[in-house]
Amino acid sequence: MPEQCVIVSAKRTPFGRYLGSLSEMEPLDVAAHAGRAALTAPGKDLSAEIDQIFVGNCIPSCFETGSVTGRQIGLKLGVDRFTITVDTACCSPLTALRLALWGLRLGELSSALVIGVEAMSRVPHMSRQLRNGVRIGEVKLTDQIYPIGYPGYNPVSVDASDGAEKYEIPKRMLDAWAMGSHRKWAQAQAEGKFADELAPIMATKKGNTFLFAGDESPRPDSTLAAIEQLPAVFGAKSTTAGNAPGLNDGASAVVIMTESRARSLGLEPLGTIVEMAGETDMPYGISWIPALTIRKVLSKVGLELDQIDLIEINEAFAAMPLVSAKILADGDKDVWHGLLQKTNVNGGAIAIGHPVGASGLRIMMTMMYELRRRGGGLGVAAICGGLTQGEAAIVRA
Amino acid sequence: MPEVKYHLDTESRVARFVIDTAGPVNSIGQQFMTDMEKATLQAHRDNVRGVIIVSGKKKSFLDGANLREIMTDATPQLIRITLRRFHDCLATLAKSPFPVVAVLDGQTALGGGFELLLWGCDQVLTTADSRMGLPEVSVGLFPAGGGTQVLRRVVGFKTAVDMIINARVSPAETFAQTDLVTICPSAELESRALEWIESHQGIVNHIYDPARVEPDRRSDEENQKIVNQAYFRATICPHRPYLQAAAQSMEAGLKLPLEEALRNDLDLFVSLFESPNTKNKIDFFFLTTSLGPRLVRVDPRKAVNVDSLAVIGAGLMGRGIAQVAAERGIRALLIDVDEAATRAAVEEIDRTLEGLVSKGKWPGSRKDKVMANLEGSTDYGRLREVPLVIECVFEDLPLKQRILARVQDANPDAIFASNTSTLPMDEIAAKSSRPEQVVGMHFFSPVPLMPLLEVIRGPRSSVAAVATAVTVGRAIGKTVILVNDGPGFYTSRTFATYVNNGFSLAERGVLPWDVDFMALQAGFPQGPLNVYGATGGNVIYHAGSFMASRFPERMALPESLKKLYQAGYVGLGKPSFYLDHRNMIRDESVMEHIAPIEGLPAPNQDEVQDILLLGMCNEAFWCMSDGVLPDYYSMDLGAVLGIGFPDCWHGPARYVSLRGVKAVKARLEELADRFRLPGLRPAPEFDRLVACGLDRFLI
Repeated sequence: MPEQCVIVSAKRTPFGRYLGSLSEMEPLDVAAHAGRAALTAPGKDLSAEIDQIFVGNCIPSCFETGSVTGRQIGLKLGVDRFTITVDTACCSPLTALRLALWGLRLGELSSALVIGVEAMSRVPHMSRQLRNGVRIGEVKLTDQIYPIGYPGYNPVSVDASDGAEKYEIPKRMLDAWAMGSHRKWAQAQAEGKFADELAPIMATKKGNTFLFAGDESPRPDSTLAAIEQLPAVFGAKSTTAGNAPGLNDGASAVVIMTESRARSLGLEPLGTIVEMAGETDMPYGISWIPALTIRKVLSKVGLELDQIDLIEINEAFAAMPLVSAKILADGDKDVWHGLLQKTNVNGGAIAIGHPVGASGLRIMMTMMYELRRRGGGLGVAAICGGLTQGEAAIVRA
Repeated sequence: MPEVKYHLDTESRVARFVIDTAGPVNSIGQQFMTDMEKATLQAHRDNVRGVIIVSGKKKSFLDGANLREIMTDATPQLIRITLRRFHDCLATLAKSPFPVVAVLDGQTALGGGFELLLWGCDQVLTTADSRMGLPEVSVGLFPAGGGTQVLRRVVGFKTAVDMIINARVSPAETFAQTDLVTICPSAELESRALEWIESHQGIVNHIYDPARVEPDRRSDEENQKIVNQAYFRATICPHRPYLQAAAQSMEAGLKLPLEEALRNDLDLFVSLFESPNTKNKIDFFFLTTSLGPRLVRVDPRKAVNVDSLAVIGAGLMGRGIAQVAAERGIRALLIDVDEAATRAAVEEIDRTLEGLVSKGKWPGSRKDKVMANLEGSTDYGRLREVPLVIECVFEDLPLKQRILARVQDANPDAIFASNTSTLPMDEIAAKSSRPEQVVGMHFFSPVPLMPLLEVIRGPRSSVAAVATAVTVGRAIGKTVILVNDGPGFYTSRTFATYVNNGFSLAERGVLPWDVDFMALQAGFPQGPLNVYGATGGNVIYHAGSFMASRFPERMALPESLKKLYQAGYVGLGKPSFYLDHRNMIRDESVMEHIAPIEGLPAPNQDEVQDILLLGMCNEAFWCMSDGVLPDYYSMDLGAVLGIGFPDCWHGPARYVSLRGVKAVKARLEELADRFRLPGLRPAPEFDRLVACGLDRFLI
């Protein structure tokens, strides 16, 4: 039995809205801020204790040079340790965490810093024509985030809406879930719950420097009726700007260690990573892949869903938690509704925002802190990624 | 660009104030007041001989406060300062040494706009068709810009109370007897205004003229009686603080000098903004005026052009539909079984409209237009001329199917709209070879007064049929909601619940007139048992029976309703419970038909009101669950505009939202169990919302 792997620190920046407070920040700096916050949160600087750095990111072109992003961040942090930068789309930061977990379990490492970062406001328009020189005629500039999709496949917004239709989830429920996300966030915010995970950051925009201290996307004063009126996008049947998250900027970071290393440093574990898993399905299955991944990770350790106290399913679209929970409930309405009531209890990406390469760690830490507030328990966090890969983590707190 | 432009004619030395504010109608905001103050000051500096106030907009003179501006970042202090500033604005104008004349040409002066005329102006010259009033209570406020104080000084106390409490907007003719308003033809407005100014140099504004006697003066006792009646009306439902404030303001004005009464108005006005009911009313105003017209999205290019239509069945509904279409310039062919019936129907419309003309409510030309576009006929062959046929025959499925067959024989291309209140479109169209031509246009009675049209899209209705129904509905001035097919669609189904629950309460030991009285206290315009009486019984019985057959578990017809009908206790006003000045009229003749249910506790007032209010909410939420209703805006619009859901609550969605989804669900379960009312079992929609973590903020 390999040693337990524990989370000793977890922090994130507030998530900025598209072209909002973080939109003129260099994403390397935003990532470094989250990393530094995680390294110092336990009350002592862990920089010297880190064996390796793992960085997840989804859209590398948001960086000036989207190569060895992890190394660039590590150097900014002053941590001269080997880095691995990984891209599994929105799964990236949890895949990075899983790589770290492997390292710890293999005994090659006893500690790691894991970071997820995204800056969707900074993704440039792209042209492949310019390299050869431009002849007479138009130059095509593609936008990699409008819509988000992959050559030869539907936009993800369409796949999400098709999934909702397949599992007979009406648009009004997607909309109700979306408004619920804003309200659950508002409630948690009013109770000060996000203080545990947030690391406010000095941001600069249009020459003004200011402390960016809270998530920027939630619209808790909207109404379900207003969300219902928004039109469907990108040819999807039910996906609208209201039941999808925005395009966001932000970074998340955690420090994990073997339990013995943590103890030797006198660190109190925040939570234990019980198990992680990755899973795939047909490329249009992003709305239900969280369910399949959760099933896989639970079966790896022989846990049943009813032993799970809290669930996080990333709201890439409202369809993801609704479809996935319905699958996990085997279609039983009451079980489904019961699962939903313990899913994303403090709101999800629709409210908080979805910086695609940073959300995976965000859902895990939000869940972990909530488990701790409830006096402990088991939680599972799952996220879908482009072309249908899923990552899931079981955390005990 | 100033919102009040100032022009001085150097020859006559008469200044013109041209009101032209941002937006489609003139409204009063900070900018307006700034510019009005500037213009007034300039007139003083220029030592003018008089001021003529006109509007730069064709239809709107000045139509009240800019509610959006008020509601944005409104604080009590800001509201108080703003209102005070408006008072000062009007008082300064009124006390100016020069005569001030307003000129209206077929325009509206509402709320603050009317207050400007009543207070700031010495004379109003207008064409007969301008419209004026202080309808603030309809948006959850009261005329605090001096209206409650100054209207009385122009029209007398009794009339003023009536106008304000009932939010009446009247044609200018109504005020022709007053010394403030003079009716004159459009072409003469300008010259008469100049003449008036010349002949009234040095005039003292009527509000400040100590020699002036208020019209229609009465004894203190009589005035108090009028106030008391207004209070009774205002306080029967405690959730309309704006009506109460209006009555309080007018009562205070009887005793206080103008300045003090106005200060009192400031307090009353500011306090309203703490009330959820005022917010509900303002939001509902925006819902009807701003969102409502855009709520149903149809492609107008898919709609068939309707310049004429036929109405089959010349009963009250059919005549109403024909009348509103004709008034909007759509030629209406009114068809009934025989010559006598059609002739009688056309004559009936003529007589009704003549009544309106003789009472001064309608100009004669308006009636002439209706009658010119109306024609009676018995010839189905004439249907070849019309693109749209609206059926208003008795609520009987085989009959409607036969009518549909006859219509489609005569003109297979016509869109067939059924004005049924309960029968599903798909069943009406079941035997038709062209079911795609069938759509529902559910009007509400009386059609000329009720603002709602419920368009029903059957599963086979064509895009063109739906687009046509919606477009025509809007063209004849209705607020349209579009719902999907099903027994009783949205409104009839939800209304049936209200009536059923009323009878169920009577069967559970609440005296029938108390049921109706408590309904009025809850804010309904009419008690559920009186609904049965007022509609003549038959309609309710048949609709209720049909709904019971389709929803046997939840909408079984109460035994008493059945007994009333079977005993022949039908006909207008049976039972008749209505409110006179102080009491509910008790019609005890109904008691022998009430079938008491033993062994249940008697519901108290809270329970009665919850059963009526939440019962309706629950059915509305069922319509959501069943896919009949498309969205929450339609839910609230339809319930308030069509079936009398209390307007002070904005509608079922807002009401549930204010009480909380979980709390409402628990209350429904409790009431369903305690009083054995299976119709109150919460709709699945409540579970969905709870699962989604959404307790409030539905609308």
